Amino acid sequence: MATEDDSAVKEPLDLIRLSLDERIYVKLRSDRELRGKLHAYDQHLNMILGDVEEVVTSVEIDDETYEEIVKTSKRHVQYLFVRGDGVILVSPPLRTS
Amino acid sequence: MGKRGERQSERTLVCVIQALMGLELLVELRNDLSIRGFLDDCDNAMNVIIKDAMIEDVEGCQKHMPLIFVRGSNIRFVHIPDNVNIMQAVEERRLVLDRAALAYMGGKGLAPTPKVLETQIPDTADAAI
Repeated sequence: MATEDDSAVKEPLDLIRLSLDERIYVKLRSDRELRGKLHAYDQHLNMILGDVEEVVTSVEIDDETYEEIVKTSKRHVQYLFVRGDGVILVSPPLRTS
Repeated sequence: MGKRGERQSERTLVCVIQALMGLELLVELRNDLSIRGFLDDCDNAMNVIIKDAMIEDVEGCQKHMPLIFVRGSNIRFVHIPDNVNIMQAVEERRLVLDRAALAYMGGKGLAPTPKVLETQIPDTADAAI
């Protein structure tokens, strides 16, 4: 959370620093995704996100037809602390819609 | 309780959780349990103690427990209460720790030197060992 005087990009974490106060997309373990505004992060990738939308994806298999049914559930959280060990990747938001 | 800039917790975002001590918040665990209660304590590894907790599982089954210890590695999310000014809370906690560290040092800001301790030990102390 310290302000950096040197704004050069030297290591991968610096790329995340460029996204501070921007909206980002975070892929988490257990098929979860977050989209929110990055307020803070640290070297463990613990993050504080604001105005967050969480999408949980689950795949169910129909007993009769054996087809895969992909279900997603969403929820909105105002201010969220994310523990870094669950984070897979961080990216600017993907505009698919 | 080190000096400002030397504390390990301030190099990570754990200090944000520690600033929320005493407040009611929602903690989501990796096993999909939700715990709503008052944050009693949080250490540098994010291990937490939650008082007056209501635990809810995925099915919605609720159970009340007066005192819970959760290992930090099990935490997935911490929902920060809406009405909290985080930056102010973190800074206030830093000030409290600064004052506590100063008081611990006797207000002089210097750690006791070994020389001081040696003169306080009487020569006959060896007999006890």
